Amino acid sequence: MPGIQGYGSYGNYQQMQTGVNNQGYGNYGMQQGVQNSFSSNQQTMRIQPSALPGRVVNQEQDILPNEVPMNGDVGFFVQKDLQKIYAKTWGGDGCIHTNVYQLVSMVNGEDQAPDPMSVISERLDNIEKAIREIRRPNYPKKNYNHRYPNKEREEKVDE
Amino acid sequence: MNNGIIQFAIQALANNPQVANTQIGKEFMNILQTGDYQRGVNLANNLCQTYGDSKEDAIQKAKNYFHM
Repeated sequence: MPGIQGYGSYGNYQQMQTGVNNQGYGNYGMQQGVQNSFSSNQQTMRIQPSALPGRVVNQEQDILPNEVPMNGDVGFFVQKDLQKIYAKTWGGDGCIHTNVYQLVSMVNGEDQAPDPMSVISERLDNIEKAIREIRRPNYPKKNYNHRYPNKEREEKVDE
Repeated sequence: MNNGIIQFAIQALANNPQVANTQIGKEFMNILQTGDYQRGVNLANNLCQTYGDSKEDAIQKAKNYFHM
């Protein structure tokens, strides 16, 4: 009897045990006893956890299409610096679809990333300040009409 | 397309439920059953683009795989 691979087959394993003993789960203790008497004739059954498809990568470009499982599973590719995890799967259109999970550092259960709205409002404040500064009456005005300063200089030299 | 090749592909998919039950497998089966040539071309082009192969390279690889 071949060894059972992965958790997916565990249900069959339990069903098979029940079939051999003709008993339900209610008599589990007796079931074990009967199983022990058969154990000398059986090969060792190991339930191995199925490996997660994927690997550690330096960047997303390192992931080859061949590495994304074609059996419908999602391949997980962890960036080496642990900043991102790429979950890749084949779509029905023949393209690889990617979901990216990004690191959010938590300290005492609190999100340490800055609030996006506060970042935006801070940048808006900076722009507003800059505009106010430019509109000030004594703001040093630059002459932007000299579009070709080098040419003018050359002309002056010619004169 | 040659009807024999279509039947062969349908049979090959039917014999591999693990592949046929994937999104791409279902799409491929649907294309074969409906005979939607354009969708098949789009799917093939997308696969070539994803793998970074030209159409000619992909055809050659398929021929090699099937010993043609």
